Amino acid sequence: MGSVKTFKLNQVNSGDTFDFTTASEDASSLLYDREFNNQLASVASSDGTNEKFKVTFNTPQDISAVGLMNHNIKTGNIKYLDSGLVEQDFSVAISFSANTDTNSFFDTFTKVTDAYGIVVNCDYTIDAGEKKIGQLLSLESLYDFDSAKRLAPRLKIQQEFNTKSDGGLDKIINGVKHSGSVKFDNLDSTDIDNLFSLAVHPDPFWIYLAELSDLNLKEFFKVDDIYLVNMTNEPFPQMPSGLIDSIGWVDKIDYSEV
Amino acid sequence: MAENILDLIHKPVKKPYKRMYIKRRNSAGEYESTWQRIDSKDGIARVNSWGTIEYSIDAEKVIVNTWDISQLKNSFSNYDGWFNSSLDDRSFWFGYLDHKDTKLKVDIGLYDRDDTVVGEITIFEGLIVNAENTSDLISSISTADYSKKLNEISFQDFGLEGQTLSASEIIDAIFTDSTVTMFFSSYVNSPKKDYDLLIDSDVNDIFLESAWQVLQYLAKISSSTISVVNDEFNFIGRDYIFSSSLAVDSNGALAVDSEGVLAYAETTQSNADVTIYGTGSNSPYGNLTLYGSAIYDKGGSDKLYTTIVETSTGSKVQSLAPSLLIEGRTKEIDLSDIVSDADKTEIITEYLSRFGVKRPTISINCSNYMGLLYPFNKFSVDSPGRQKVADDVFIWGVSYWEGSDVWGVRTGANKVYPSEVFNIEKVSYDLDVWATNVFGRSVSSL
Repeated sequence: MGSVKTFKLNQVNSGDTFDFTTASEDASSLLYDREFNNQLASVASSDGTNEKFKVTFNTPQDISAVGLMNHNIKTGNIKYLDSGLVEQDFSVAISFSANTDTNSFFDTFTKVTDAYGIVVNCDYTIDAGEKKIGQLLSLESLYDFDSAKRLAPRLKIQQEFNTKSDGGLDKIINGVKHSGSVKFDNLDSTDIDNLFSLAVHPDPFWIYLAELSDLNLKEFFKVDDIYLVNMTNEPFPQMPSGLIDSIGWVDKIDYSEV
Repeated sequence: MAENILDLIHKPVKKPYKRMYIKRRNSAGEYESTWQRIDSKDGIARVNSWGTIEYSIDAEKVIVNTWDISQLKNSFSNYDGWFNSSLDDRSFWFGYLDHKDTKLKVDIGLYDRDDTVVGEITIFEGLIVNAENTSDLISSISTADYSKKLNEISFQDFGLEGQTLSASEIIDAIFTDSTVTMFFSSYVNSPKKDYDLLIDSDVNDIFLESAWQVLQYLAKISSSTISVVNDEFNFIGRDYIFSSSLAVDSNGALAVDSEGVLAYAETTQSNADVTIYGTGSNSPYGNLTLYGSAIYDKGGSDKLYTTIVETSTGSKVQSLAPSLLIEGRTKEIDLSDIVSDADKTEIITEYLSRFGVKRPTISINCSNYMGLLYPFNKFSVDSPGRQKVADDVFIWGVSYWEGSDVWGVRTGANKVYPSEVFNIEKVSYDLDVWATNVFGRSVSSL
C-alpha cells in the first residue's frame, strides 16, 4: 500500500523574476521547461564562487514540496523568501552537505503560506565544476491518496511510420510521454470527493509516484518520477463485492503526461 | 562515433528536434531583441500542427524571376488564451502590438544517439499575416515569408525618383534602408546584366509600384533570379538549363552533352547532388530512399512548346524535329521590357531548349531533407521498378525460389535510372510527418 501525491502547477514559471549570480537569466526557462536533461549552469564560475539561483514569484504562493532535479549541488541549501524578501528556512530545513544525489525531493516540512520566492544557494566545491540544475519545482499540494494498490505505467510514443518503397519502415519519434494507471482499493469518502475534483481540475497537475516505494530504486518509483499529467478516466467508484461496508471504495486514476 | 546530419537523415529511426520562436513589436513598432519560444510554455507543448513549407518555381514562365514560397500554417493549443489578441491580458502579446507582422521562425534538427541536437537550422522565417482563434481553444496562425513585406513598401518611399542608377545600385538602396534591414539581415547583389535605368515614374509606371514589384522587374531585365530563404535575400544571375547550341540528334531530340547541364540559377544554395533510391534498386544501407513509389511521367509532353515567337520583334525560334513540331504548341511571348534584342533572342532560345523537347517529370516523397534541397538543385533517382516472378518457371517445392531465374523480371514499372538528372521545380517540407515532397523536371540529354 503506497501513497500517490498530486500537486498544482510549478510556481517557478515564466511569470517570475529571476536573479542568478553568474548563470544567464535569459536561460531561466531551463528551470521549468520539463526537460530535466537541459541544465541551467553557472557561467565561468570559479571554484571560489558561490552561486545563488533566486526566483521571485509573480504572486505569493503556498509551498508544500520542493524538487531539484538533475543537479550537481554538493553543498548548499534551499530557502523560501518571506514577505520582506528575506531568505527563510523551511520548518524542516533543506540543506546539502557532501551530497551525491542528482535528484532531490522534499515534502516533509510544514506547508509555507504566502512565500514570495524560492532560493537555491550552491556553495562552491573544489573541482566540482559549474553548478547545474535541470529543474526546480516549487509545488503546492493538491490531493494525496494513500491506498494505492497497483501501478501500470507505460510509455506513450508519438511516432510516425513512413513506408519506404522497398517495404521497410522509417520511424520518426516526435515525442515520448509517460502515462499510466494507479488503482486504489480503500478510498474513503474524502478521497472520492478528491477524485471527482481531480477529474475536473482546470489545470494539469503533477503526479508523484516515488512514495509508492520506500526505496525509490525501481523505475517509476524514483525521485525524479514526477510527471505533469491530465487525468483521463472518469471516476467510477465501486464497492468491493461481498465485503462488509466498512471497507473503502475501489477506483483508479488513469493519467497521461501533457 | 559522432554522427553528422546526413547520417541522421539517412537513419531508419529519427528523432526530430523542433522549436518555434517569435519576436513581438513594442508600441513604437520595434522588434524585441531576443527570440521567444512559443512551441512550449512553462514546459507544456503548444503546437498542434507544425505545417508544411513549400518552395517552388513556375517553370512555364518565360523568365523565372523569383521563387514562390507558401505560407506556413500552424495550429496551437490555446486553452489559456495565450495566443489571444493583445487586448487580452492573458495573451503573450499583451503589452505589445498584435499578432500581425510578428516575426516567427521555425528551427529544426535531429537528435543523435546521445540526445545532442545535430544540424540545427532555421527552416522558415517570416511574418505572421493572420491569427484566428476558434471556440474550441485552438489558435491558427498563418505566416508569410519576408518577400511579402517588400510588397507592402512603396518604391517611392526610397526617394530615388529622377536618378539614373544601375540595377545593383537600386538593390543596394533598398536593402540598406531601415524599413527593409529590419527583416533581411543579409543580401547578395549580383545581377547578371547591370543596366543603368532612369527612375522616372512618368515614363515607366513600374516605379509607382511596391519594392517587390520593382525588384521582380529588375530581375527580368537583368537576366537574374530572386530567391528568398528566411532573412537572406539573393539577387543572382540567371543561367540557363542548357548552355550549348540547339543541335538536334537523329531521333529529333535536342542533343546536348550532359556536361552542358547547368543549374538554372547561380544559386548560393549548395547544389545538392542527391540520389534517392526507390523500388528495385540496390539501395545502400543508410541512404535516402523513396517513401512509396515515384510518380514518373516518362512522356513529359505536358509542356511541349516547339515554336517560340517574340511578339515585340516578331523573331521566332523553332524545333527542327518534324515529329515534335506536330505534337508541340506555339508559345507567344512579349519581351518588350527587355533592353537588347540579343537578350530577347537568348531568352526565347533558352525557352525552346527547355520546353522544345519532351522532358520527363517526377514526383517523389522521401525523408525530411532538412532544408538541403531548394528549387534549381538537382537530384537523380535510382528506381528500376518492382521485380516479379518469371512467367515460365515451373515451381516444384520451395527450393526453386532460391534460383536466380525465378526473380528478376521487371514488367510494367516505369524505370528511373540515376543517369537522369532532374531539376527541382518544387520542394515541400512536411514538419509533422517529417517528409519531403519533390517535383523535378529532367534536364538530362534525351
